[in-house]
Amino acid sequence: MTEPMTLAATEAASPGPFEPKIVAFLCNWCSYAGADKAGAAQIPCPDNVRVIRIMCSGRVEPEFVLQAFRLGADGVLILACHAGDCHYKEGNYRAIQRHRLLLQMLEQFGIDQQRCRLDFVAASEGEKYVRVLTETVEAIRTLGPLGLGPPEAAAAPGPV
Amino acid sequence: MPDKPKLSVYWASSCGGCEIAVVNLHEKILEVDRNFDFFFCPCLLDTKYRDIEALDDGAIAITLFNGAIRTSENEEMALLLRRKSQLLIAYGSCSAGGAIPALSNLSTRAGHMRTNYLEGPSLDNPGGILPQTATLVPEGELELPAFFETVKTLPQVVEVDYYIPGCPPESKQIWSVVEAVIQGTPLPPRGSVLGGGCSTVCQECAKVKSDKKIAAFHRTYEIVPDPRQCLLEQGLICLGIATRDGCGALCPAVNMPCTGCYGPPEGVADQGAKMLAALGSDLDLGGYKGLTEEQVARQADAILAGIPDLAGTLYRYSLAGSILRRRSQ
Amino acid sequence: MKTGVYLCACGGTITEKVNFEKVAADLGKNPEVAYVHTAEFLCSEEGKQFLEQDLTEHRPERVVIAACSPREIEGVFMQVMERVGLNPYFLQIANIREHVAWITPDPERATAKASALVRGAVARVGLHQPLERKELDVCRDVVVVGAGPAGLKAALCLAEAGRKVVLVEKTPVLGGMPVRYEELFPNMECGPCLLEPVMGEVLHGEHAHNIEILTLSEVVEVKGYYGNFAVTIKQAPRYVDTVKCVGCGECIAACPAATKNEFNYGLDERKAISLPFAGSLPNVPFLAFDACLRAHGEDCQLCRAACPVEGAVRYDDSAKLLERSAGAIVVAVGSDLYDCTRLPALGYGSVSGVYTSLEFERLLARNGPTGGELRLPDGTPPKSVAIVHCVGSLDEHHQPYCSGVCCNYAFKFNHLVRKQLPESRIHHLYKELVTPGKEEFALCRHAGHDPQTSFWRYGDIADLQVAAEDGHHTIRYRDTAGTSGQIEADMVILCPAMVGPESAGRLSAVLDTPPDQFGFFQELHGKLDAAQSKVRGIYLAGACQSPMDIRGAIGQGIAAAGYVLSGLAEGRKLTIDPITAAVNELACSGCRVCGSVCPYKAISFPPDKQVASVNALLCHGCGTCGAACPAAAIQAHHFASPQIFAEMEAILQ
Repeated sequence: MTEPMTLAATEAASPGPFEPKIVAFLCNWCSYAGADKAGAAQIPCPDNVRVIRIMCSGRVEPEFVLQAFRLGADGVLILACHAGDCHYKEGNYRAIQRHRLLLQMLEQFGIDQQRCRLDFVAASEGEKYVRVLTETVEAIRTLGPLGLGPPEAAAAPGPV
Repeated sequence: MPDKPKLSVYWASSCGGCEIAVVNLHEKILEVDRNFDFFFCPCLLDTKYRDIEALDDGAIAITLFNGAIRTSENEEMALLLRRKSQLLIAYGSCSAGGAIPALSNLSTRAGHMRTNYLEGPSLDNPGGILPQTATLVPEGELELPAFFETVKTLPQVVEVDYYIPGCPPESKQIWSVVEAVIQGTPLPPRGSVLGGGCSTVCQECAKVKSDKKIAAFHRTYEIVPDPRQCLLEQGLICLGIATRDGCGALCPAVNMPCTGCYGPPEGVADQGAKMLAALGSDLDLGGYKGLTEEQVARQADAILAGIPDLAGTLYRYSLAGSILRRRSQ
Repeated sequence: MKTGVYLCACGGTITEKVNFEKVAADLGKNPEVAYVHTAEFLCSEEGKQFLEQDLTEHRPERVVIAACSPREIEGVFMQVMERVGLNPYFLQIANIREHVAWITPDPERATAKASALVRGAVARVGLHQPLERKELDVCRDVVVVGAGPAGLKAALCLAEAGRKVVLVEKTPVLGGMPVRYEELFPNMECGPCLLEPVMGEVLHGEHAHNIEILTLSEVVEVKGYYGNFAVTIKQAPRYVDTVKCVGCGECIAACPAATKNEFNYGLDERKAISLPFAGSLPNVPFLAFDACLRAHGEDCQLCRAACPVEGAVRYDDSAKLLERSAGAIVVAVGSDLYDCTRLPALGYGSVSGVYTSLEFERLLARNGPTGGELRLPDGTPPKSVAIVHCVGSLDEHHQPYCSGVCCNYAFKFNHLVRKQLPESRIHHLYKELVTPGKEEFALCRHAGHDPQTSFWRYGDIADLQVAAEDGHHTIRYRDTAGTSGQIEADMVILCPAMVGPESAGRLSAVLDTPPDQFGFFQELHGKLDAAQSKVRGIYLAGACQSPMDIRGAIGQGIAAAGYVLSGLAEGRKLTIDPITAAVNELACSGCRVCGSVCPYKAISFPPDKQVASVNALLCHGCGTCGAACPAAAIQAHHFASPQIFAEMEAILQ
């Protein structure tokens, strides 16, 4: 057992607020363009979100999301075109359907639904892009780390 | 006797069906006995732990290891048998993917203990006694294996040479391995799934397949499916689309949807996620025209309400080996 | 993998926030990275030259460029890669401008994020495949469906460019709707006169030999895809040989049978063998067999007997199925009017003297049922005319949109009625007045300045009631304030919303181009590609895509021809973008999970293989099928799962 730390020592050692790691899948035509728009307008945005560009939100496999969690992401964001605006007609609808399934399943895995958000950002919606990102970062900051960690740790034996 | 190669069959966390599959070799079991020293099999033979420990490393030619790794005993046996065996085969769905025992990964150890020792309706445990790894009694200390928080697969604990999937495996697959070893036929590359194909169960399923549009899901007792048509198209959750072929599509052939015991197909990391992707792609909302995002979500939810235990259904045989492996804590 | 990394400062707008030294130091630890070079403006001419020289000198196996958005710049750098002999798909852009420097106020955080993104790009690019653009031989001929202004203009443009065109028209006559109008807004030119030169060119102009005209014909089946369509056309019998007929009309004079003239909306009769209207082209009568005495068991041969040309009238003519090859299809089938009987209070179909605008056009036309004289059913000229705008438009219970054409022709009607009946009263009942266009307002202003013309704004068409009393009509309405009013008129003209063509359902099923929510053919993009359908190689021209006027329709006809000429250019094969889906046939079980997923019908299951097959020409590369495939048998090129996983792992480090 270590000695209890003094308050000052605790503060000094405090790592600051939890900074979640978030992976965002952005469709090329609407949401990535929306993100570019936010950039062009130089709207400050939390740096916690790492963007992966895909052609269509319909490309997002549930495996991408699970793998992101496994690799240390605290949250995943899928951004799609608005209904009726999909460059590929229906990809965003498939994304919605898969997302509904995913949410249902993540719940069984004890992963809060806020950690996997699907939203819709048009090419013109730079401000919405920043808002969705900010909200997501804050929501996940409140939830705390997902802490899946390496799988070995989860499987560590212990007394009955 | 000592000239014959040693064969062992071990059960870890499993139901015993894999042993039945061995017995289902019928008269061929005699040929196994003629060629092998059937050395270790807890449900048939009285070989002790110390007998195995006493062997030289690699003294066992083949170990068919069935069952998931649920307890410290399972793990210890896996490590021991790995050391003592030339070929360690993950035999049956539990050892490869965790299967039914691993569904407990959707809960917690504390939860299991509570349900099984404290809250079960048939329990009488006024003292709230829980099993302990060590218990002192007047005669000395009693030991129980530790119950892991997470069920693991065999390959998560030790290196595995081959896989024979199935719940239970087909006896003919066991025989083909045994035969190959007897005849000295070169074995496929290490890590291969023996008797497994490189596609999915649908490849072997004779039912007529069309472009899929699923408007509602049903449980098997709720409908009498058209025996000619793909079961998934009729709303039965058939995992054949995301399950390795090789079984001969035995279940769909008798109108029972595939539950996925051969595990994910070649190159697929997560059987449940693949099923999720496929189901989410083929929901029939009757067209999307004019629907808002919320309407699509709601209509999808309405269809999905027909699936009672999503994770349990899609990960029935593969949860421990899946990407997430268990419920987050 | 030897990967060359280029960091672009973008004139300092990136380096203002991102510390390149730190990024480079971080990358230096990465064994995949052969070198890290920086540039001030990589996209400038000097920058591109530098990149070209540097790539030539260092010959990296893969290239990562950390700069601005790939949406902006990827193509530019891919061209540079190609010039130095590197596969252009061995490039990955890390967007450290829009996604980092410009939105991250804190330089330290910006640098860390930039490092992560570049790391991701390096990890990903190592798995990039050497994709190749493929080329395909194509058929350059075109099938144009519909011979209205849009179809005629498209056909003529294409024929003038030397293309073979098959012009498929459902009716026996060319010209679509405007040839049936006496005069056109805004300049009151005569409708047939406007289109006759175009039709003349199509029929016997210099390039007419390039156009095969099939009247009384419909497209019944389309197979194949962009560049290689096989089109089946069903042609109903005309019973008159279009080549032999000299158009003298002797047969018409001889015909003893009459039938309602559908070209005049049943307002008069025509002979069983007849021209739709005087001056219609081609100048070849057609026999409506249902109306012919021969259809009723009589052996009448009067028309054939009257015909001066041997074999021009052919009773043995029969329906034919014709096969044509085409690289592209232009749909120009026009629109319909909203069904006015769905507003029964307006009296259409139940009260005499209530006409739709199209019927009124025929009443105004000199080749129409009254020879252009405005007459009530009793033969007298109307003393007052009510023109009801916005019938079924701007109304959630009917069509929510404004067709944008009706007010303009309503004021044309105003002008024509006034010219013919100087003493008459004209009433406009409208919900909104919309007269777009730089010349169109003049007609509206004329009407507004006419003392005998009055305007009444109604709130809801549901409150509008037309009742017939003693040979004239009473129209009750309620204005926007809710106050009731009443107007007397002898004749009522309804200006209904333009709606998708009645044939859209059938034809869109054949073409696999689902109609939009209003029944029009759906465009690929409302602004950028309004003349393209969502199926590659099928183009849309005119009012079948959206309500529009003649000018708009003709413009789209030309646009559609432009798409064909640029897409299926002479002497060039069709290039197939390699960012498509591809099937691993060994892994595919033919489960058909992907079959219903593809919005472009690019996936098929050839019976000889029993596994999925992706037509790379039809595939748009969205990757949805790749995500759907439960066997991981479909690879989305350039967005393959291992590439995504590698990127994800690296950016999460």
